[in-house]
Amino acid sequence: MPHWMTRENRVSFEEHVKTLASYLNHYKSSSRAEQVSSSQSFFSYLLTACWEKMHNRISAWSAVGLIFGLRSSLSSPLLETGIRRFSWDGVNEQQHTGDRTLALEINSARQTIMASIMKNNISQFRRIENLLAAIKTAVKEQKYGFYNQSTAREFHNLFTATFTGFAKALALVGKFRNKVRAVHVFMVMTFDTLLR
Amino acid sequence: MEAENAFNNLVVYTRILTSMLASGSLEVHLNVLRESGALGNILPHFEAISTYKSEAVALNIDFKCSVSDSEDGYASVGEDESSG
Repeated sequence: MPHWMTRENRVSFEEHVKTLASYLNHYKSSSRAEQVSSSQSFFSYLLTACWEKMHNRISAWSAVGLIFGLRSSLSSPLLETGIRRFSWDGVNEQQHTGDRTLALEINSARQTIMASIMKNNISQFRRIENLLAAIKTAVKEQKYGFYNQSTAREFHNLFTATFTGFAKALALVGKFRNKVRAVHVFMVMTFDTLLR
Repeated sequence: MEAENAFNNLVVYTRILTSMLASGSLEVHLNVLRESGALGNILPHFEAISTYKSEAVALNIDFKCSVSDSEDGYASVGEDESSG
């Protein structure tokens, strides 16, 4: 049995900080392509570190209520009315903080992944074609103000489907608790070895 | 394999969700929902969204090497050398 599996599947704070420092040092001295690759690995590492807290929070009654409410709002006529009545002056075509990251993230996701995400909504609320087209245009023109009156409905569909899928994914990962803990310990050790 | 698939799915969902929660578009969207009243019974749980948002910002790390450089140009944590 590998020696990392014989440990108590716990990573000390010191080891975590060392891993973080190793990652940062590696990032600073890497090419752009390496940075993208290592930041993806580091994101997975962070998830192995944080998923239990996220799991506990998403399982709390307040979060369950939030998801229930979000799903109920999908079919609420108030949503359509709200979108119509909202004062969109100054919002249309305006880029907001973080929109670029979101646009690039969604634009780079494969169609099958997006379709899989939208399956978390019942069929009549799976449409996001207009939103995806707006995001594609935004990325192409590098103007990231894709959220507006015409995309708000589909943005809501996507947000609700993603939030619901996120909760389901966490519940599923919870079934493999010990494996994920072991992977976390393993990642700390490989990060330490590979990135230093 | 099942565990790997589950974890990979979680990575995908978390990446998109953290990007959404950190985006200004969601801020505007929440205002639309709030004013529409469509959120009704969710309003008390807005705190949960804020909590997720702060975690999202923390998780969605986009280190642009904003860490201040130490003398040797490296972020340092290291052991306490004085302790021998």
